[in-house]
Amino acid sequence: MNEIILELKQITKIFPHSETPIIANNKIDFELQKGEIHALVGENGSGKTTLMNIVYGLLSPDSGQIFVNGNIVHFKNPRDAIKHGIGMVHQHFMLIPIFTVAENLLFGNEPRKLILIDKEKQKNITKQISEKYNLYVEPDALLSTCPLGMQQRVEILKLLLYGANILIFDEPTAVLTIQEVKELFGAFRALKKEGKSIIFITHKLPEVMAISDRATILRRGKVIDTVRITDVTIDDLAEKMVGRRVDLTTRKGLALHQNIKQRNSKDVEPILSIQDLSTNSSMSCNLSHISFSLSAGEIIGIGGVGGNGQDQLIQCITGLYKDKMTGIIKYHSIDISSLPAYKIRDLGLAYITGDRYGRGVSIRSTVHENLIMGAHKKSDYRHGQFLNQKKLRDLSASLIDEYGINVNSQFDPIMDLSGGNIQKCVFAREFSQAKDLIIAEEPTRGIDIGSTEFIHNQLIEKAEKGFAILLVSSDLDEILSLSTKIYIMFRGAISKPLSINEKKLEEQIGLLMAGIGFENIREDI
Amino acid sequence: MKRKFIESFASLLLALLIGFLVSAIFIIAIGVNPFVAYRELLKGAFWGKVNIIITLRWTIPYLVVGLASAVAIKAGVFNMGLDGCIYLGALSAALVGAYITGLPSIIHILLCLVVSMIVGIIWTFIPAWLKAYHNINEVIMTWMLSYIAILLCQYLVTNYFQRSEDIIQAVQQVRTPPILDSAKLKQIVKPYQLSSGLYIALFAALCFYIFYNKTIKGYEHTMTGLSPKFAEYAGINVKKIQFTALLSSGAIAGLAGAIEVLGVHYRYIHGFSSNMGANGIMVSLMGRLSPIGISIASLFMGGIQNGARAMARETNVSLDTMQIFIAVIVICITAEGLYEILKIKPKMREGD
Repeated sequence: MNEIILELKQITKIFPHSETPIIANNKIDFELQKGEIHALVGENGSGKTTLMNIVYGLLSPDSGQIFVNGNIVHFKNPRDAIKHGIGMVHQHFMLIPIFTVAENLLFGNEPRKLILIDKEKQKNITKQISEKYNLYVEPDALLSTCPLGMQQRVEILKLLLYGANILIFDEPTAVLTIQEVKELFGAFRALKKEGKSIIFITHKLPEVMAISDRATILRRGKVIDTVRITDVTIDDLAEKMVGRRVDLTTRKGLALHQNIKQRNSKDVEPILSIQDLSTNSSMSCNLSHISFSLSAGEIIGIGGVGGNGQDQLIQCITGLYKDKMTGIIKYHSIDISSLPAYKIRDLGLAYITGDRYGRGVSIRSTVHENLIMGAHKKSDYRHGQFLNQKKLRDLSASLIDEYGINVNSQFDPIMDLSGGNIQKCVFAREFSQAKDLIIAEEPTRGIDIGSTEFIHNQLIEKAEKGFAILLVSSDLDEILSLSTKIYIMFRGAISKPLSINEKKLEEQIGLLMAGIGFENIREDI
Repeated sequence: MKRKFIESFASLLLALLIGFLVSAIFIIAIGVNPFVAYRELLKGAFWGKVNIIITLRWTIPYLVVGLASAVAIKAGVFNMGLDGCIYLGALSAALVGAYITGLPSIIHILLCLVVSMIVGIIWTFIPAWLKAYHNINEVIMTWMLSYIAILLCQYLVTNYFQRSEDIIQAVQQVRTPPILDSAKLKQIVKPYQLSSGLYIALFAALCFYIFYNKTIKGYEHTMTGLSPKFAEYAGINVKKIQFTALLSSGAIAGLAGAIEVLGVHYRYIHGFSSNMGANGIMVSLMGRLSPIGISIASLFMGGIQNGARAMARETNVSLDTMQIFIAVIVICITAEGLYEILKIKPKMREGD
């Protein structure tokens, strides 16, 4: 029998909203054993973050008790929690970008030499603790220049310095590259060996399967089950999380691929073709000699670790790229490489952006104002220079209906919606205006499984109707599940095309993602 | 929507209250009972026919300048050079009004207004173009050009349009000859300074309402202002919108100068705009960029200006105290705007 270090009994938290109070946590029981990695899984809005904020002292429960090492505790603020050895790494780091790693780590506890800060000692302490837990950091590096993985390690070390025994991670992998995720999991194992306990909030099930010992599944504020990972499959977890069977792993692209093969005899013109596209900027990853083409009914998946030129490629196609570029980008027979974004949009290109809050919506506007964007220019929805307000209202009402956007009124501010519902707004708007080309960038990042499935089905449906779809995603499972053809990007170069029915596909992709097998990699970046 | 309206109205009242409280400290420091001072202020602003007429006279320029400022802010750009355009608009209206003869009144007035707006556009053209197409900060540019514009007006008038008798008469004003009767805006209630410029200002507010609530371009301006990145992504020509917004702002500011000349002074007098540009920006912020809000805020600002004179007459409180009052209110309101921006962030985290 393992020692129980943290226990929650019948925790309830209600947010009194304007009309309907939201029960974020409904009589939750939870146990954390010493030295275990415990995943807390659930969809957005299932109450997992609320629960952990209660444990961390950011919120106080309406009823229920918390026990640490068998003793009942009442936390008024995070400082109380830290005193009891509980630390939390938030999704957004609480670090100071203009300080060095060592300064951040010892912020508030600086070693002193008279009235001055003892910089040497600061560095030494940093090195010591970094070596002790095998979490590599660069003591002298300015924080803002560190990769996110290292910033996260600084956060972890900071908690360890405070003497934390229970570490809570809120969606820690959301901001990391695949390599950094591996490193993080390595750190998890090292911490476990040291006898630390970890609570790991996530909705990414493959990660749960890869690292955790046990998992507690929440749905709508209630505990559905607590399971040992060795006893369940990933599909079981998904079912518990969503409440029904979901299918995210079938290669839906295969069937599409067969269709296209049969049609190809007719020799169709590509809808989008890119020839020898390169960029020249001093700021970011440059594209190097990219060529490919995309025809009706195809879903081309572009994979690779984020930051290898995917952003630049999409910006070039959509006209949002600001620096110098060379090459030809053709939409049907029109060269769009030098056109500004609004002209390309008027041609009929739909673009689901990965920057959902910054670009995808106007966060301070209503749902209606966001949905009619683009349509407002079309002749159906205008009287001369005036908006046809009745038709526009009907349009947004029908989009809300068709895409199942959960909203009371179309005139609600869009920031009241959940991430999944906001993404549905983006989809509804873009799909309703698409002519024959859709660019989908990270379409399901940070979105719950139910909505992900819906969005995947929509993309497949559009491809079946003859749309050409360019899917850019750092989620390999998504690429494999939807694409008919796959390209991998590495340092601004693009790989040879991989057909979805090729043998040893995953293996080839793995090599390409590590940069093996490329011709045009530039050395100057 | 209704809740939002009540919220913003309540926060405005709160800002007013804080403004009154903070200025009360200064008034007490002078040794005056703040209740007496505020009573005189309100009486001077809104009590009796004469006071109301004079308040309305001041409301006109604040309303028009407030609209000019709002047109820019709506599209996400700032025109800090309103004063420059006001002066240039006033001077050009005064010259057209004085030197072009033989026109019927209505045409003469329209000509003055149109010319003043064109001059406003020309003066804003350079900063607008640099902002929109070369991404150069428009705040500094419009602001600095405003000083140049004001001094340019002074130079032109003293060197080319000043009549010698104006200097001899010991008026010691830098001013142009008076405009012709045909260019004058009629007084609504004789013999007070309230002119039919009021109708022009209200018409401008109506146009503002229709533009932003009913037209395609108005929607695009609003969305560009709320999120330029979104607007660009979604297929709006953001550069053109920002360009036209700044030009329109300059044009409306020029119009405000012309209304002052044609309706009140009947000539260009250097220094006539006592901080009208800056106060106009405050009016647009207080009015939350909505036409009704701006109308109420300009009435309020006009009342304060007028009432403060009464307060200074009746008590020992100087006119400058009211500048403190206005400053505190504007700080409260803009700080509240900051709060609104901060409110977005935690929301986004929940949604992740």
